[in-house]
Amino acid sequence: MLSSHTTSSCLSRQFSSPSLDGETYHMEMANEYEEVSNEEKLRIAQHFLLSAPPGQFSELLADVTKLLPKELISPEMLTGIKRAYDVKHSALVEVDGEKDKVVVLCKEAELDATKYIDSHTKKIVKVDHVGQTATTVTDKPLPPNAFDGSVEEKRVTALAGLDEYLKNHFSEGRAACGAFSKGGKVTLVISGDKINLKNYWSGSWTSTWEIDGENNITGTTKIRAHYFEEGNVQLHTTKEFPSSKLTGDLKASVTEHINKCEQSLHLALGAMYQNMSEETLKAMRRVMPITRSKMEWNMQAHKMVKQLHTK
Amino acid sequence: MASLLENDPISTSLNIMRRLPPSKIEQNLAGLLQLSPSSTDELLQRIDQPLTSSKSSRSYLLSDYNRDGDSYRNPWTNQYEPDIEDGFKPSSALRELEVSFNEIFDSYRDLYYEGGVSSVYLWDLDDSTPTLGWAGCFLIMKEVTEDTHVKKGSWNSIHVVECNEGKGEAEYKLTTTIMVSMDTDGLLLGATNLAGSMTRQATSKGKVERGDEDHVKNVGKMIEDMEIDMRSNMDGLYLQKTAEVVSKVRGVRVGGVGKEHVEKLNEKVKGMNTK
Repeated sequence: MLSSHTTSSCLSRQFSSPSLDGETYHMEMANEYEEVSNEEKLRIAQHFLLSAPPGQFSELLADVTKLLPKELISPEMLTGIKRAYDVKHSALVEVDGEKDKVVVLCKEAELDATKYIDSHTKKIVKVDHVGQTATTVTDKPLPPNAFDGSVEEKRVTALAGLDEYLKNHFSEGRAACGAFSKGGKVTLVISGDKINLKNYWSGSWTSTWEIDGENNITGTTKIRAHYFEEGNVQLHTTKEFPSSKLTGDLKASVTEHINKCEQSLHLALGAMYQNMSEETLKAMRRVMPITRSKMEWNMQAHKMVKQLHTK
Repeated sequence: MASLLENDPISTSLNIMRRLPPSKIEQNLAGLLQLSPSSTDELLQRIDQPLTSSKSSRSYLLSDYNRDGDSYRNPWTNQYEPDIEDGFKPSSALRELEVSFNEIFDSYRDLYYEGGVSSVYLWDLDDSTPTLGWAGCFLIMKEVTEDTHVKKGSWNSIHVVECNEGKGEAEYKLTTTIMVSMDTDGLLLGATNLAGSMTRQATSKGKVERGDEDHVKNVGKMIEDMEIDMRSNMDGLYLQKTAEVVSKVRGVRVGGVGKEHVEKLNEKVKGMNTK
C-alpha cells in the first residue's frame, strides 16, 4: 500500500501492545523478529478460534493453521478446541444426516467429550465436533442418572413450553432446544442460527434458563451477528434476566416468560438501531455540515475566515 | 479480498481479521504479530487500529504514522514528545504543506464532527524521483460518552494518501478505513457492543499549478467525498445489516396471541427511551 516511512521508523523500536486476555505483551519488533514459543502460538490460535463468528469455525481454522508451524494443532487438540467452542456457543448439530433433526450442544447435555443427551428422545447422540455430524446411539440407553427423576415431570413440561416458543419465533432459521435436570433444578437451553457465508453474513441467538425448586426462573441470552462483505461489522449482546417466579400452568408460563424477556430484548435492539442511526452516529459525525454545504477547500479563504474569527 | 497467494501471511491475516470481533482490533493484531513476526511491518501498515489522542495542551492523534520509537511527533509543533534526537521528520517543503493540511483539516473536522481530534502527517516518498512524491495520513477521532443511548462510542477515520506529482498534474491514491464502535448497557439491552470497520480505495487526478494550494483542494475534496459516501454506507448498509441478521435468526413477528403484547412492549420501550 505505502512505502518507506513506517518501515524506516520502526526499526528496532520497542512496541508494547494492548493486552490479550488481560496480559500485557512487550514485543521486541522488526530487526529481530522474535519468535514466541509454540505453546504461546497455540494459546493465541485457540483464543482466535473460540471467537469465530457463527458457522465460521472451519474457515477461521483454515487461515489460522496457515500461520502456525505445520501440525502444531494435533487432531486431538483440534477436537478439544472445537468441543469448547460448541459448548461455549450452544452450537447446533444435525443428527443422522436429517435436516429437521437438530440438537443443541451445551455443558448440561454433555455425558462425555463425544456423547450428548437428546433431551427430547432421551437417547444418546454421538457427536463428531470437528466434522459437525452426529448419530443416534441405538445400542446403549441413556444412563439412569442422566436426568433428575424428582423433577422429571417439570422438565418434560418446560420442554414442551420451549418447543412452543421455538415454533413461534425460530421457524425461519435452524433452531433447537433442550431441557436438562440436576439437583432439583431444570436447565433450559435454546439455540438458533442462520448462516449465509455466500452473502457474507451469519448470526446466532442462544439462551440458557434455570428453574429452581420454587419455580423461580433466571436466564441469559446471547446474540451474535456478523456481516463481512468488504468490511467487518459485528453485534454482540449478552443480557441477563433477573429471577422471576413462574405461576400457574407451567408449560404456558415458561413459554410466556421466555417470550416476554426475549421479545423485549429484541425490540430494545430494534430501538437501539433506530436511535443509533438518528442520534448516535450523528453525534459522531454529521451527514452534512450545519451550513448544508460542503467544505470550501481553499487555503486563502480559510485564512481569511480564521482571521475574522479571532478578531 | 481473495488472496492470490494461498499462503501469503498478509492476506491470511487480513482474512482472519475480517472474522474476529472488530471491537478488539488491538488485541487481535497483537496476536497476529506473534503468530507471524516476520510480517510485523506490513501488518502494522495494512491493519488499521483505533486511534488514541495525546494529553498535550492541543491534542493530536497517536498512530503508527507519527511514531518513532516511544515518541510521537506533534503535528502542531513538529516536535517529538518525549523529545528524541534525529526523529523522523518531513522535508521542510513538505512540512509547509503538512502545516496547511493540519490547519484546514482541523476546520473540516469541526464542520462535520463538532468535536474530536484531527491530525495530518506527511512523509516524502524517497523512491519517486524524478517526479515529486509524498504520502500522508489524515486522521480523525471522535468519542461520544454518556450519550442518551450509548455508554461509549467512538469513530475513527484513517485516510492514507499517496501523491505522485508530474508536470502540472498529480495522481492521488486514497485508502480509507472507518472504524466505529458503540457500547450500551441499558436496562433492556444488557451489555451490547456494535462495532464495524470498512476500507475503500479511490484514485483521482488533479491539476497542480499553484503547488500546495492545489494539493489541499484536490486531497480535501477527495477525502470529503469518500467520508460522506462511507458514512452513509456504514449507517444504512453495514450496521443495519446486523439488525437484519438478528431478525433472520429470531422472528419478531408472533402468530396470533403475541401481537397485542408486542404493541404494548413497543410502547414500553418508547417510554423508556425518552427518559
